[in-house]
Amino acid sequence: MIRFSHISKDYLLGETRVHAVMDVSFDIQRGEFAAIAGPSGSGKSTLLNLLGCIERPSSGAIFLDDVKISEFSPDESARFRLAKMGFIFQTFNLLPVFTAFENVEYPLHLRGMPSTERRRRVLAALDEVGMAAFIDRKPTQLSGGQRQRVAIARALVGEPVIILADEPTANLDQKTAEEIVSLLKRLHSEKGVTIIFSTHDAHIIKQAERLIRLESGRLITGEEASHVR
Amino acid sequence: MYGKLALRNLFRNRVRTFITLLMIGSGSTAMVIAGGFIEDTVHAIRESTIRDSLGHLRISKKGFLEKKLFHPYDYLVSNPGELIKKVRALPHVRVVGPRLDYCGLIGNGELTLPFFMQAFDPALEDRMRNTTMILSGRFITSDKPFDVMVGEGLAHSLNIHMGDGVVLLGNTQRGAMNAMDISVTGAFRTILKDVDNSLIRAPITVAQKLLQVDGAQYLIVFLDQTENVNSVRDALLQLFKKENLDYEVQVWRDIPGAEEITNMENMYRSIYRVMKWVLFLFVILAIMNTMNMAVLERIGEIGTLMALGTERHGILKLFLAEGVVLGLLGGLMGCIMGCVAAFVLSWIGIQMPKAPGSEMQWVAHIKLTPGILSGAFLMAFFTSLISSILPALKASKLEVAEALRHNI
Repeated sequence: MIRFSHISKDYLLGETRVHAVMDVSFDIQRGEFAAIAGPSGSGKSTLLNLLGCIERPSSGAIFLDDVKISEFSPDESARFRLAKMGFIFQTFNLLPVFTAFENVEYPLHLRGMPSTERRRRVLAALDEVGMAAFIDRKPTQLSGGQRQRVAIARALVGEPVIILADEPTANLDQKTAEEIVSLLKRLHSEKGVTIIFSTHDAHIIKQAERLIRLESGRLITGEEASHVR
Repeated sequence: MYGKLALRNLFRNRVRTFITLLMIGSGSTAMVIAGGFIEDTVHAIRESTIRDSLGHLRISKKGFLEKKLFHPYDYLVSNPGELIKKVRALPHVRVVGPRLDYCGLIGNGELTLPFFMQAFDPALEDRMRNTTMILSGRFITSDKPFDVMVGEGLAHSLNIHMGDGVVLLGNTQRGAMNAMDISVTGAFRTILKDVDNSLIRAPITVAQKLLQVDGAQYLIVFLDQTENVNSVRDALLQLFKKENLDYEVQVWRDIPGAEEITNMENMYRSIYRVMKWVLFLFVILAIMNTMNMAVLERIGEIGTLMALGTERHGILKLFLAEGVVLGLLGGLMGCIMGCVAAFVLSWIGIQMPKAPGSEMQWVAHIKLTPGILSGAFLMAFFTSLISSILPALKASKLEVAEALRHNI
């Protein structure tokens, strides 16, 4: 479904060129629950950003169902993300002025969905993540775990093809982190949605069905087999 | 949705938003006050000039306007009673009276000075009693057809007082010299000192006797409101056409002397325009600063919105919506503050010094019109909208990945 073909991504940091991702190629099949692992600065977030059309590669190509998504314009990328992707962030990234309900509703608003359908879907998504009782709470009135659940509901509500989660447990305590990963796993198994997340937490890595390991921007081959259950 | 998000974002930082609204509101308030003051001043000068000398409309025999300079008494309205009755019956018309303007010499036995006479029918133009500022003596009346009032400066120069006799000298219609002994009933003051140095107000019988004519040069028409002048002019022209009457109509702004009002109005309006630009720039800078800060503080959020699928024009709309909300609220606040300030200032009254060439002090007020209020509101609205364009463009052009890093 997703094909990374010789992807490299360079940044200019002042006058120095930093190679964040170097010649990475791999495929991800529909319905996978995959982790991108590696130490800090290994290029995990960059890889997720490239996959989510948040950044464009310096070279190489990314395909989703044979559509070359790596050359989308910024607005094409936005439309693509809205239609196909769900995002979960390390820092939850909920809009502070919106309630839990409104945060989840936002992507459906962007799609121009009628309000009755929006309401039905939002309530179902919040119920799915166990947040039905907190729909009127603002993010500041929620704990870290609750915020991440709302963020998961927001990622889920548009019924995306892929959910990308960038270190979704990094800002949570161990217990909450495990609850969040369990929730993601349950959603993956119940809905069959493809979930790709980055992490450097060994406990979380063990939960993944597939591991893509990065080090200094390069894909470490031969490691995958040992981690795939 | 963008409106809701914009409104909530604005009230996240209530103090900053309040200060920004106060700045926009103050700009609009200043516009309302300045505009209202100028409107009142222009209105007061215009109305007093119309009331004291021009009239709203003048009706004269066809040919008078063209030839009055060399033949001022060849096109007289004779027996104007019937015409006065017809004109008086038109809507918005309050006063119609015959007029004769006359120039000559006035002497007290020792000194002779030139004068300009406004001659009218005191019975028909009783309103002149209320609009003439009498300094001493009493107003002229129709039962004393050969008594006159003199301007303050003229009375002072000739050292004449109520009851004194003076001689008026002038030409008859045919060019012969004529003289007349008259009695002074009192002295008055107009807004222009130069006018007071030569003006005489007299019953029309005085001018008719000096000229040895019947009738009037023109009929002066006063309306309920100056704004109705065009409709009454049209009604008059229709009346003349319908009844085949040989008259022409002159509107106050076409009468010699009115150009000074127009010039003064233009000058005030130019000052107001400059003020508006200064306020416009001041408010633009203030709002731009606020909007820039809003963008800088919310780069992470902008990244999130973009990551969730908001297109660049969506971000642009969001920040423009914030500008629009600021403009609407600021404009509304400015208009309310302006109305309150205008009411208070008008209630107290703004004591104005003597204007150049005038001996009269006056009290200015703030005259509010729909034009001034809507102008102030629109200024606030468009200023806010324009000020938010650059920050909104800046926000919409952020790189998503770079913006998202601000969340960490």
